[in-house]
Amino acid sequence: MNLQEFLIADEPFYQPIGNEVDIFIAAYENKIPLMLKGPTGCGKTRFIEHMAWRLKKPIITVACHEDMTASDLVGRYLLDADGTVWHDGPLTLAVRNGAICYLDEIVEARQDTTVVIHPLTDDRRILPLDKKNELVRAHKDFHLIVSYNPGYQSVLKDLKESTKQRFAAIDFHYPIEALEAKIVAQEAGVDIKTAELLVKIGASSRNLKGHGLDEGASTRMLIQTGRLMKKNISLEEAAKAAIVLPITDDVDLRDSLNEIISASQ
Amino acid sequence: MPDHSQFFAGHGIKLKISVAKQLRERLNGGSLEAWIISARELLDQSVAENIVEFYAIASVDLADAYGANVNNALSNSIGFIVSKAGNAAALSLLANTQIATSLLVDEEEFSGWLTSIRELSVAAPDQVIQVCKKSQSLLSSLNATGFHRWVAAGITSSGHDRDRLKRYFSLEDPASLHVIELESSDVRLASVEKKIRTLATGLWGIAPVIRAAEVKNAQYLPRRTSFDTNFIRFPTSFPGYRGKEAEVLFKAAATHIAAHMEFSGQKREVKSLQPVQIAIISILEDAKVELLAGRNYPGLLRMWRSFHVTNPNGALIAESLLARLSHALINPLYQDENSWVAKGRKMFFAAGPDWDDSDDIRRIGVFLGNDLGQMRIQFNSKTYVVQPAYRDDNNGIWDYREPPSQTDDEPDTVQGSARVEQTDDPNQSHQRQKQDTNAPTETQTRKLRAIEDNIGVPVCKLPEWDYVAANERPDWVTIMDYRPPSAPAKIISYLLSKHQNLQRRISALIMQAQVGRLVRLKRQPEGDRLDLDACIRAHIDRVAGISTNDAIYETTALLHRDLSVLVLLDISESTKDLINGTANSIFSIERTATSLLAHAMDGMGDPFAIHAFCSNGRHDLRYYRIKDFDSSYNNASKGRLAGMKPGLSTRMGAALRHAGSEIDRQLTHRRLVLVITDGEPSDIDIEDKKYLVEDARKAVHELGFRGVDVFAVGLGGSGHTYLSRIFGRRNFVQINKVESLIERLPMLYFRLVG
Repeated sequence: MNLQEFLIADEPFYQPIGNEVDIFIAAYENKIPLMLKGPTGCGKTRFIEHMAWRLKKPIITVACHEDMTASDLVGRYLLDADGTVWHDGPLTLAVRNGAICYLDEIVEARQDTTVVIHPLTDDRRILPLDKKNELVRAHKDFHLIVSYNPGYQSVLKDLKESTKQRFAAIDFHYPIEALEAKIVAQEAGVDIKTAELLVKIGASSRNLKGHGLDEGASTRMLIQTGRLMKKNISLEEAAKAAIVLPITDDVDLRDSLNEIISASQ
Repeated sequence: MPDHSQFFAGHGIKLKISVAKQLRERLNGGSLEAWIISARELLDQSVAENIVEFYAIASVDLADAYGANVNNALSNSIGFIVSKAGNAAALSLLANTQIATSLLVDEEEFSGWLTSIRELSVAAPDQVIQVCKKSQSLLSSLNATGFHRWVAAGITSSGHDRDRLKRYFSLEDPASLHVIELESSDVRLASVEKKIRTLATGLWGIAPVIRAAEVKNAQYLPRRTSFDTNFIRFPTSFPGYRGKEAEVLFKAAATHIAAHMEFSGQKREVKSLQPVQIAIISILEDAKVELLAGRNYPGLLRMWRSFHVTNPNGALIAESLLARLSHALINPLYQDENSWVAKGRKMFFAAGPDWDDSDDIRRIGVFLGNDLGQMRIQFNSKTYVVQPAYRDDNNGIWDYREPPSQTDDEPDTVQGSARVEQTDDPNQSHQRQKQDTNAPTETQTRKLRAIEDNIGVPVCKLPEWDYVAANERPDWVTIMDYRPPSAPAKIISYLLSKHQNLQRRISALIMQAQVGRLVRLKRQPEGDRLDLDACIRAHIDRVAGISTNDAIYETTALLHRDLSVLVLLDISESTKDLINGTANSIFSIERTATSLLAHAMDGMGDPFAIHAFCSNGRHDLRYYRIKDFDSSYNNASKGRLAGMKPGLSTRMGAALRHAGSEIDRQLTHRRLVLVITDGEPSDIDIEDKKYLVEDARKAVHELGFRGVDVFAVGLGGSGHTYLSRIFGRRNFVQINKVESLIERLPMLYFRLVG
């Protein structure tokens, strides 16, 4: 099967924050399943895309959600004019063809769905397709990666211990200010001074984590702000649209954030 | 020269020449005629002689303040007040008219004030004089609406009680002061507290505790903020500031103190400094923290600067010079030729750019203070108030070596207010000491200290299981219902406030669970959609020749909650033990955890109860009802939770049976008893350790038979074996790190009931 559409053509910009590139390559070469943990908008998906581009491997992404069933991952029979036909799901596609399969926000899926990956994540590297009575052995290039935000999942949703222990993990967090400014400048196309100001605002908002905000402004939000500013929106207005209004509905918190933004310049 | 008093005499009105002259200068034509008519009306009313004279003077003041057309309201009021409250009251009003006009912005306000005084003269005529006498201080804080509300509040709350009226209007009654405080500004601390707290947190990651300053007496409404380590005391409002202006003032004050917390470092020792030197050093310190803060947050500096308004040519008095120095230090654009101010500026910036060495500032302050002394400029530390209004009183940067204030009450040391004390009750058992439970020997005599007695009412007798005889001992244990001692409910609020993050998480979970969750039910025999997987399965089965299943539909349904929870707390003597390395006892952790759990359960809306138990032999199983199923979780319940005190032993089986009978009456589908215990069941009249464990196990089975689930939380390290024996392998959780109970208990609840 041609997975051309899943290959990444242009280099996605990625600024390493630590040794994550080395760890990824080592894990990939051993085909150790990988778990990326960190808050939203700090570069996990960008990192995967960059590594997939580097390794010239196709990457199949699945956004996990609560209604997802095992069939959504492995595949199902569909009815057409000729009768029932088996269609591979995204996971099976990756397993057969040696692509990277990236399960984003895996905690959102129900636990009876996520166990489907267990036989793929130990030495057997097999995927049983019960309904088809087939045992798919993983292509040697197949690699499983998952991501999740450990911070604000409810206590009712967590990975089973038996699932967690099958993975190696890389921790993602917001980069240090100097690096983050570089990233924001590059991605938003603003000058470094503006980027530094945005990063400062981001850092202040992160102080409010747990004091009304579940999470401070992500790097992504700062980049969006920068992009708005490039289109001649003032800093206050851009920050309001891209940071303050989306991040909270609480009137007092919005007020404080606006004060911090105007205090920062 | 026209004799103005003659003019008035012609109308039958006797006025001194000077007064007549002033009046004629301000009024003419129609307004003069109107005035004359009004004065005659007063005369017709036979008011005292000097009333008209004073009326004239007051009219002059009115005309000066608001223009010539405003006298009628005053005359009506005077006549009215004379008739209701007497001449002296009316005279007092007139005597204070000038003050009122200087403080009330327009005639409408003035009319409002008059209306209030008229109402007062009806409801509390005796009080008019003293209220008028206090006009200066009252109207400095209150506008007409606020004044009216204050008067109305006094009248309503005191009714016809003359003593209460007197106390209220003389400002002896603290409630009266409180109303003044509330009315003195439309922006109050409560409405901005969250904003300013999150502002401080966002700027420097500081999490200050904000408290309202107490009002001590009528003369002193606290006008400045104060801080100490990370407590900030705010006045509940800033009199004279309204609306947006007031809000900015609150923010400026909060951020200024936050800047102190971030940049001020160690407290300074007062040693032998004089008050003027202390004031100046404080100003230098204020400037330092503001300038340092402004490096990262220039907007803050702009905000602070906007409050400094000084006159570079003002009088050479201490307050003025200090204010000018403050201004000069933080605003380079401010020009001030005064040599002392200039010297201060120069010396301050020479010690920059970071002012790391606190001795530099001290030195400069001493020098400048001495200078002021040599310039013969008096500094009155008693009347000095820090300017501008957003700056704090600087107590937070000085070490006065006084005993710590009562800002940090540890809930454990706060005694409950209502305690019944008993001395020599012949029924009271023996004073005993509990020995160290680590000692494993069989022959230890367990002695327990009796807790202070409340009143215990015998409720029922329950059986107990004798595992040796494999038989029940009927009517063996007496359950005594004890009323829990009460303590202020705000202790619970205080405990909760120390775990705000957790509280927020709990609230979020509650909301998640409550938003009527739709659940997708698959493989239904009926439904509004086809379940695709089931259909395919069915088709495959048909082709394979197997009989098909008709359940090929799916539907959605609302998640329905139907359960009651009874939390049963073990408050035996062992919970008094302190956790290693902390000053908290196991019981205090239990109590905090239960407060959070109660908060969660209350939010979820499931019926719940909180009971506690301990025992003193089989005749005295003490059962405490902190909250019952059919009562609401209110201040009374919180007070009882706050007032619980641990002691005595753990006769668990009996407590479980009684709890079971309590929850039996709940009609919900699921019923759960959640036990929180730290130790093995034991009691003073039992030697065989296994006996009470087996009895508790039997009790759990009995409850299970009746459909009541039991789950246990075991605190501390040693309980594994007996907990699993009593509750079953899957119905307990061991928490070794006791402090983590606070976080885990509410989460456990969500897991159990979710």
